[in-house]
Amino acid sequence: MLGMLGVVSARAAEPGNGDLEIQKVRQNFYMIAGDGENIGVQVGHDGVVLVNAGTVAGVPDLLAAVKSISPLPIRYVIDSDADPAVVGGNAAVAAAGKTLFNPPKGPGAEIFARANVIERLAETAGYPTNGWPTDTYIYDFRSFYINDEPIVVTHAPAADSDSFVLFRRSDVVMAGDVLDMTRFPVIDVADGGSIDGEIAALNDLLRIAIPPSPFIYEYNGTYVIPAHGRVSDQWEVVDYRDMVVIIRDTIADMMRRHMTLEQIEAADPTKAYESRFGSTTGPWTTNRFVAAVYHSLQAAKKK
Amino acid sequence: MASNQSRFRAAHGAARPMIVRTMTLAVALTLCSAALSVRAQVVTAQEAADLSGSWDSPATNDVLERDEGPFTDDFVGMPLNAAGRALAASYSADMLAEPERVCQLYDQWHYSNSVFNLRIWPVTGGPTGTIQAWKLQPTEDNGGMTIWMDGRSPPSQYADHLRGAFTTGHWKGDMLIAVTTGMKRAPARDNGAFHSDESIMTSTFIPHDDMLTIVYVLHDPVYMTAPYVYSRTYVRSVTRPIATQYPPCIVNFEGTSEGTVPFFPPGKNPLMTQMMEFFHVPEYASAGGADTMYPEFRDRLKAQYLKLYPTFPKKCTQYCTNFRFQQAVGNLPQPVEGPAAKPGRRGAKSGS
Repeated sequence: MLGMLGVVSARAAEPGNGDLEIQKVRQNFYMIAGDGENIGVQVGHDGVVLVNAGTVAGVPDLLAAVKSISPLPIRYVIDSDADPAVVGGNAAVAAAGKTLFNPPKGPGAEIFARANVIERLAETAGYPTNGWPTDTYIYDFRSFYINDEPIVVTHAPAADSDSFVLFRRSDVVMAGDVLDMTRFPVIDVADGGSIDGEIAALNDLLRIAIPPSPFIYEYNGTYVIPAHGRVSDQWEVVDYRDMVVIIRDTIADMMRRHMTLEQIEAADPTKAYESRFGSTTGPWTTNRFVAAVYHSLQAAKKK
Repeated sequence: MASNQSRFRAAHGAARPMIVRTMTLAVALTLCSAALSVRAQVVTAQEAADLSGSWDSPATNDVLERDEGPFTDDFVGMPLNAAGRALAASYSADMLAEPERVCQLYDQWHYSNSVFNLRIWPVTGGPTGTIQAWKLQPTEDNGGMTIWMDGRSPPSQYADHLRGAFTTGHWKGDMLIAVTTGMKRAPARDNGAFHSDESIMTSTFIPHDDMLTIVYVLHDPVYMTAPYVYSRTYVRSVTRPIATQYPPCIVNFEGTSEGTVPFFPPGKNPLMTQMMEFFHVPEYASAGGADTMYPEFRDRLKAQYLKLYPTFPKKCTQYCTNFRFQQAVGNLPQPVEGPAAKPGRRGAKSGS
């Protein structure tokens, strides 16, 4: 009965879990929310695979939460991007884990990410080298088979260091920054990000997130874990993709009419969506999003 | 039983008739009370009314709204805010033909303005067979609604919003009040006004005679400034049970290519003038807003109408009464105008 109700949640009641909330998504897959970006937890007889490691400050609570789900060691930490809210806990979480391999790879869990993540971390002053990925991929994808399940890590074209992580048997995909249920998508121009790349990534995500057709009355389809916010599915990805395309095309239309960035911001191209996804404060405001779209459209025009 | 009575008579002689009648009465009472307790298991004291059955949705005054749908710029009576209006003005119905949306169900709010009939039945469980939930299912188009009656808490803010959402209910007198949370973002009206995924819907089921009125109230903090109310009345269908269908859906090409998002940029929707063109309803009315929900708004319109009245055509040429009727029978001769044919008066002719 509870399975039919979808995701089951539990406040982690163990000491040190802070404000983290554990959502059981599938039989052997959980989401931990409340520390940086959403964290995926796959469990099984091989150990624990984490997607994202949260922030440095959140590591003790995260480890306690993972322990409450499975007593087995963390084997892999897969970073979906290079954001501090994703990689901040890399070193400490990996150190708390146990490698599947013999040394000299090191005793802790493996840290796996797209190769560009190392470049980003190397440029980050003060970031410890023992938090760098111990294994990377540079082409389109890499796959694993852990806990009786194919895990497919594919490049998400939203930015150079972004990846989707698909747990094929659980039918759950970690979308990283490409989908965010609390704000407009972050366009990281410094990391090769662009609005067209974000839209391409969302369209790729729509090919991974399968809706429940033909039995639309019976199932929910693939679960999609966004960077922040609730567990989602293909329905939310379509809405988010449509919103981003509409905003991009609206701004592009304004640029064709030779409006400046200031004029475009004043015209409020995000009006229909601002109250749901916009913000005037914090690290990613509506104006920053509009400016990022504007600049990436300008750059695309120059190519 | 007969053999027991015979043995009893044989053992107890003259006292037997009274004792036998007493025993028979006792047995009868026991059987009755057993029957009553079985009935109580289906509809207990906590269930004030029996909503189960097939409910017909008559196609009456709001059939245009619920069937073909409203005009593309008709948001009269909807308490939309600026964001809600902006979203509605950008909407293109071609969006429904996106391959990713072709097999999307309607959401729970669509119960309020869909055209389909309804079937309601109880879900019993537990050792005493009490009603744990009421289930609703329209003929098709919607996922079913399960109204949990056991006081369970709603899912976490991080849980997925299922296609069936999450609904709990309680009785107030003989009215069932159901509160639905966890809905998807979906149309609030079939012409592009949407409600957000933060909406809460309250449905009040009011049974009376052989009818069931359901009053739906939508609270949307993202796109609306006030509760949006819509009511429907169903008629119990005894001789014609409602069949609920769950037709499978396969995506076919319906005119919009994969990855394409049809919409109208701000100020460029050519369909935002229909209410003025056909009915001379000005934009400040057709654009909706909380004040358009109330009868006092007509006073505001009246002044404009009286000014414009001399310019109205003398005879209605389209959409005069029921346009479906017009389609069926062709243009009928229009009523002759008389002294009563002035705006605001009862008996005003169509088109005036």
